[in-house]
Amino acid sequence: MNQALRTKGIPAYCGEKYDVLADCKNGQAMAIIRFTSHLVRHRPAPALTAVGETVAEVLADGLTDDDLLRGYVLDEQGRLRKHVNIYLDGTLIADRVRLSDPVQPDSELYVLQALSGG
Amino acid sequence: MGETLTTLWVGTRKGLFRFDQAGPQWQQAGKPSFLAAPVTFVLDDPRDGAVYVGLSHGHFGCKLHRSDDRGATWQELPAPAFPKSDAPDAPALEMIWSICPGGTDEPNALWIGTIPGGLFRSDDRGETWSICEGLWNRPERSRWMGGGYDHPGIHSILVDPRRSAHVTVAVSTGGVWITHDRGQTWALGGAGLRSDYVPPGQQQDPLFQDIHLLAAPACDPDRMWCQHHCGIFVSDDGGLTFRESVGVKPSVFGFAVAAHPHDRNRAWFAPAVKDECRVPVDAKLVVTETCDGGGSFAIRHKGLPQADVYDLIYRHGLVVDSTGQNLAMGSTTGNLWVSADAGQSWLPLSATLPPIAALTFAP
Repeated sequence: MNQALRTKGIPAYCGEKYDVLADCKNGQAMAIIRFTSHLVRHRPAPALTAVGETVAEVLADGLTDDDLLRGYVLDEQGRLRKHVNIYLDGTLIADRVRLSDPVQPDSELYVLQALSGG
Repeated sequence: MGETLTTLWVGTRKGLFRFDQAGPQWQQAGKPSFLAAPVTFVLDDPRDGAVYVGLSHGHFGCKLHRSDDRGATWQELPAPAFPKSDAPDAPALEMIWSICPGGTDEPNALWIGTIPGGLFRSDDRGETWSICEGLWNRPERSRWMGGGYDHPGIHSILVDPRRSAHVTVAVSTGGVWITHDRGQTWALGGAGLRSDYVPPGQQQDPLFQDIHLLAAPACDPDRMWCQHHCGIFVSDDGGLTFRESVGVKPSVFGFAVAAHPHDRNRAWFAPAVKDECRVPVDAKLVVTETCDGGGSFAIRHKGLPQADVYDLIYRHGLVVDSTGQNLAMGSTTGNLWVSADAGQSWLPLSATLPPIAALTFAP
């Protein structure tokens, strides 16, 4: 197990592919949030592990210690920014407003810039 | 290069550039900050030398940064945020359109005007922000309209240097608003402004006015200059009432106005043809200057291109320094000019910048 993944908010992915998709928090599997390098250009955004049953919950958990980073992904109303996409296990999320798409314990969320907006 | 006399900050579509003046020479100082990020406003705070910049990342939203070392390093600050709401059309920050220092008696205070039309205040150098509910909750705000953007916005914030609780803001579109209690209560000014883009009978409604920029001289804050969508207007009572300057050549349309800091009767404008044709008249770039309170205007063109010019000067793209002698003007085509003789003549500083949104001189 990658020790870096054991604590929420600690970098889990630093540019090299890792072979662990989930960690445990109090015995609970954790999802992974990864960020596009386009975002990292503006603000440090290492991959994070987080728990939750929906995209909203996972993002809230993973970004709880970094309000500024959360602001790059979500607007102040908690909606996904218009020109940001989130792929959940390879599929674009459907609910960009309430972020209610269900997340599995070992899911991977990939935060990417959209082709629009640039 | 000798000792730096002053600094000009240039906010562009692709980053923040710094130019320093040493003697008569200007030189770009270092590499741009925030390269490739659209800059929407820059403030060089005269109270403590801090520099604030508003960014509008295409994908990742609007951001606010502060430098306490003249641009060598930057710290990201929380951007102003609109009140939380479950409404499907709940507002979210679209642009930081103006950043204004509070009075000298409130050294940590800042104001920010945004699109949509929010006015925000910080009392801790931008570390935290609160929306000015006194203005946000005005019922008339529902009649504000977007002026060039989808939503209305606040682009002009004037803090009275005699009494910092007295603040005047201008909205595109939504008129001139005045508070004397630091934003708790507001009154609508702007009597005498005129809009020709609304039906007859409503053209003088102060709420329907599209102010492009409001500026006031430091020596007399009750004198206000208004570059309006439909003309040039002057106020002698702090924006409560205005009179129109008519017959201004080559045009009364434009976005920018710069007020001479020490001469209440003097101001500069950057005219364009008209709203549906935002290019210089006859493809010649000029600055118009009044020295008699808006009664007459002289055309200044020395040093400015006089053929085949299609530059537009945005509302924050024409500025004057605290001496009244140095002016700078930046265009949507990425041209930058400076004047060292109060606008009588101009020198090109760069012709290769990205589109210029906002300029500011060091105080």
